[in-house]
Amino acid sequence: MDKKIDANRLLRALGDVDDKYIDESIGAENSGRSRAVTTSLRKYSGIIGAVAAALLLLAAGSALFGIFGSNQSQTTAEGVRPHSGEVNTVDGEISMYIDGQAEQAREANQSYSGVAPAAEPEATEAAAEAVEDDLSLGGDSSCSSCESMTEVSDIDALSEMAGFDITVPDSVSGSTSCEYYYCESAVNIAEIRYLDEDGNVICTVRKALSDQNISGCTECFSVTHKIDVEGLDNVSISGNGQTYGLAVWMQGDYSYSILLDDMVTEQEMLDLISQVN
Amino acid sequence: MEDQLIIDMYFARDEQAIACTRDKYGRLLRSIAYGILKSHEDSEECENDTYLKTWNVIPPTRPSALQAFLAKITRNLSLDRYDQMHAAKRGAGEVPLMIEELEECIADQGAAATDDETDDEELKRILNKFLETLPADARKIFMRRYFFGDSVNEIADRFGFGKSKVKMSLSRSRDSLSVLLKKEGYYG
Repeated sequence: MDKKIDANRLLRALGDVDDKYIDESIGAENSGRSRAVTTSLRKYSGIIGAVAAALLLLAAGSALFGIFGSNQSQTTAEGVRPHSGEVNTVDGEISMYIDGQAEQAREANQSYSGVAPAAEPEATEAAAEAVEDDLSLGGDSSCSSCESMTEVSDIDALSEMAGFDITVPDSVSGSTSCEYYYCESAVNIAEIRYLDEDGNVICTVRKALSDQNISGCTECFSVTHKIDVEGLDNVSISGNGQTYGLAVWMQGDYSYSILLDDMVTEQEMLDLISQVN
Repeated sequence: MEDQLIIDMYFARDEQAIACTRDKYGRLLRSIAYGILKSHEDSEECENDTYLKTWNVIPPTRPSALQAFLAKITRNLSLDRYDQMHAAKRGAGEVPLMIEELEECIADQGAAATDDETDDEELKRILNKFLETLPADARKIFMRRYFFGDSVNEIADRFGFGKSKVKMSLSRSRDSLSVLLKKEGYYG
């Protein structure tokens, strides 16, 4: 027997298709855009460099002759700051109070149009802070992550992009492949992801020229221990007190982190730390 | 942060789960809502409604893919809101165009079709079968258009295709879906 259906119903039903098709089309958005931007930047790097040099000369000349006010010589980096929201629970219901409306507006502009608005001179200091918070480098947001990752082919390409050498284990327990990402932001972050046979990320290692926690996860575990490891500074491991899923530490001018999907013993975490440099 | 950890936080009734969800997926969810509603204010409300609904359904639900799970909730909430906003008349934006295009997929059988409620699971199976048969590029274009509500221009920009290629791909996909729906006995 024939069955009746209308286009509205079809549109609704498309919202319930297999998750893999949704993930696939979202993935196309993320990686495609990131790669496209990177490619474009590389393609026009010569022109961009020439324009930047000209602007620098102009700015230097202007400063000498006092043409511009002091505010306009500030950095114009514009970042996206996560909502600094407060969540209250009352009888199982959540009510959210999100502050920072101006920041939300800026974020909205970037999210929807893909074009960053011009930075206002008086907003540059806040914007610079926003970049740091976005990476969870000591900011309020405990689980932020870099949102503009560019995938590169291998560890050598990653080193070249980041501007420093990186040593990591070839694999971790349960991993079958690796992916390499570089975060283009205020702080250059190199990230290596270890994936299992199903393509799930089971371990993430980060390194950056920074003195902050770059893990993107500062309050994700209930227990954090400081431990002494020869040659390393401020080593802390986080987990449930028996097993651990996060390690962060400093060595020289660099900050490091390891984030695991499955938690491991302290000794196993120390073994992993010893393989990263 | 890994999705599994966020889900565990929901199960532990840890309110930080919402902050982590927002940090990781907020931008995506707002873009989905905006694709349908074309309003920043309404999109943000749908985003917040998504967190509330997620909090209320996890537990007991344990999603196998958190990203898609959230995307579906936001899409449904956005379509509900769209329907409320345009209950009496066809509104602006992509939704009426999407509906008009999808109408092409449904053959008119007039009174011959039954008014019985179509089985949701069966329709889902048919749509999954249809998507499985599409080439990857065509499938992504189709999903961007009819799941996320992207316009032809937005899809062309996103993938670096010409607009005519996107239109042609969508047209062919709709033809394929039309054939499949007819074969399965679905009529308008």
